[in-house]
Amino acid sequence: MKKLLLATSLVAMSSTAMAANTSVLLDTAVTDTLTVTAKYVTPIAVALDTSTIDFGDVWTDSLIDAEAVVATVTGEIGETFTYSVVTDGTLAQLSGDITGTTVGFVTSDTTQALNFEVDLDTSAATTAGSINEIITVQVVYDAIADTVIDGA
Amino acid sequence: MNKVLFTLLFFSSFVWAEEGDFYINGNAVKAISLTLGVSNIDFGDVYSDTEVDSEMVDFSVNAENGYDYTVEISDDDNTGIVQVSRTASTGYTANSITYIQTANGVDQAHEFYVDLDTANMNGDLSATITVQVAYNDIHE
Repeated sequence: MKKLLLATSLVAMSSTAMAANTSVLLDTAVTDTLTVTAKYVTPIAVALDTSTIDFGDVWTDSLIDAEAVVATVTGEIGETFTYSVVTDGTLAQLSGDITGTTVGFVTSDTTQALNFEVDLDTSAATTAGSINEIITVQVVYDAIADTVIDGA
Repeated sequence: MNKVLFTLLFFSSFVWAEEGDFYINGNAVKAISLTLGVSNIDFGDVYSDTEVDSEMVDFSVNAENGYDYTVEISDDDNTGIVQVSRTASTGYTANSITYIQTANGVDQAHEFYVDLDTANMNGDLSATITVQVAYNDIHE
């Protein structure tokens, strides 16, 4: 009889101790994701085939030939750019491709050539001394896509 | 005969009494949940050394009050371009971020910031950031 009672108690204790958390959800990590994207574009660049134009000695109303300059613009296919060619003085005369907008790298070519000419207004060159002007070619993309955030 | 009958009755009543003494102990813990406020960040057109503004990503975690949970923010970009930080201005890292928080039983707001280290960029970027939350300890 005692053995039977003891065995019954042991079975009862054992079944109590076996209770356990079998939940899968609580022990499982919860994750969520977001994507980060960006489009790499080639930085726009411009190169001139001429660094210096020396018209030599001139005097008022000298007849000189205009000099041709080629500016090669390199950029991303599909993008467009705006350009300008300006001088910081008053005697240099610019003609040709000296201003433009939405010029596109629309074909498979990643370069665009800008052709302009530099002349000198010798009628206004009335003062003795050197004529020194700097001509600047500026190119800039028309539109660079900004950041866009999508909510969940 | 009387002795045998008495013994059987005693044993029967003893067994019946034991069946009433079981106790169930447990602590109901809600399942941890995570809600992300951003699904996609498109930084648009970038090139090497582009200055892009960092973008904030907010998310909330709902877990049982008083329980600790671990937050891990990681990404699958192995080029080091995607950078994350818990503060907007400093502390950006290309590695994962891990920290522990104690839940308050309601939606708990978290945030981190995403930036790009464009110095090494030479191609399009497509990466996935994963936020993971899990209880530190569930008692069994």
